[in-house]
Amino acid sequence: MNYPDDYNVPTFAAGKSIALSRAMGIGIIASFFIIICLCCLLVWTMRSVHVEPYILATGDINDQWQIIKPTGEQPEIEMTGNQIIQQSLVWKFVQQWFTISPDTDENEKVWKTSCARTDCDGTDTSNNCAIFCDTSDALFIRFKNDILPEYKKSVTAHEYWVPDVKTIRVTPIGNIMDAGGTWRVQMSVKTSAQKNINIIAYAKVARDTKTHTNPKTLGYYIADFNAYRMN
Amino acid sequence: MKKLIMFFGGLFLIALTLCMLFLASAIYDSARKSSVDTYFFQRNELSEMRPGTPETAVQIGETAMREMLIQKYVNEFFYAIPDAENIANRMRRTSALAQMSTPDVYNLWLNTEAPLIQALSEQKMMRMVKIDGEIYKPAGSDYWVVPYILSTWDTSNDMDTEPIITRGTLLMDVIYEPGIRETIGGNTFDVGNYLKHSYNGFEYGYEPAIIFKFRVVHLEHVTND
Repeated sequence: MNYPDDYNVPTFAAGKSIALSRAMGIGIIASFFIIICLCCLLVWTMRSVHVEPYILATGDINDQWQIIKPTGEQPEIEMTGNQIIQQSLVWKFVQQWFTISPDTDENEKVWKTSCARTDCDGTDTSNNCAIFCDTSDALFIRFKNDILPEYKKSVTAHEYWVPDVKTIRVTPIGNIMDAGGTWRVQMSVKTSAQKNINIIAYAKVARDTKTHTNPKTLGYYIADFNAYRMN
Repeated sequence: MKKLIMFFGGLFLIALTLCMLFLASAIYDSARKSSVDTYFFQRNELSEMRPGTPETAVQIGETAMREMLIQKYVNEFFYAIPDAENIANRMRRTSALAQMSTPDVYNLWLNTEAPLIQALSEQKMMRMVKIDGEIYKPAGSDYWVVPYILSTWDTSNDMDTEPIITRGTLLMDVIYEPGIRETIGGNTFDVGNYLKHSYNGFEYGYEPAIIFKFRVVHLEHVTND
């Protein structure tokens, strides 16, 4: 050995290849271990995806079951613009339908029977021709013939109705499409006799932009309305 | 060269193991549907803004679940609202009542009760149903006895109208077992997807009650009045 000029003399000729094999062996074992851990993680994550609790609400009117919140998602119900307009039309309409005001002029405006469709064109925010503008001809005739005489009797007897706005719930029944649909209303009306009338009503909304040109409702109107007293 | 072959052989073995483990985990995963039970219920009426504590189907128990489903079925059987589209939808084979009945029972409803509900709807009448007392099964009988009360409003928009009350009893032979349906109409039933669709309340045809293994196989109608 010519030390220090040539000191790099292998002490064991097969040492390098043994070291390489050993390193590869350890590497393969470590790789296997990591793969097994990853597979366990994969199984775990795949299973956890399917644990999606849903809350089902029962006991609604006619025992309609509803999903109220898929857990892990935002508790929101998507509504289109047209559905929102229909819902707000129904919400406003039931308030007009079930109001008997001590203010006779206000009643006359809302219940006015000598209206034409052109009276509904403007963006007037008063309640002039309110019932007429929001209803079909057939429904308005029913209102005029069957409901209005009773309301007038109530006014004469000094009996007034005020809808309790906080109690109004407007929910869809079946398909609500751009052409309209049926909505259910639950609400309470306070009367001057200090009694509450609990009401369930069904309002059928339809759309005709030619006859109902009211810019506030985009052609939607109440085609049919049926209410029932629950108490 | 030999080392290179060994190296690639090792790589191939690693890839093979990975594939096998992936396959094994996929098989394990595919078995999940029969074991996961994660659906919760809220039994109070939402309109009262007083939600109850959510309970799982297991916590509610088999008896209460069966009663809830029977109550749901009786409601679907009788209720009437002044909406022609509603009864038209209920008369389709995809309706909740059809899914919860055998074809014979559903045909019986189509021939007897459905025309009556249609007539009520056309005349702008409303009918509601309530279970009147206990649902029970007499010893030795196959039939559950379900007493009910019908309230029918024969005039709409008249706040002086009182409902007409009629009483009756349904005798129901029911198949019920805990758990979620695995098939529907011969096809595999993906309950998660179904409930996701049901969440949007603006479409008819998705009814959460049909996901359970509940079926009415025979039915007798007894009118008391």
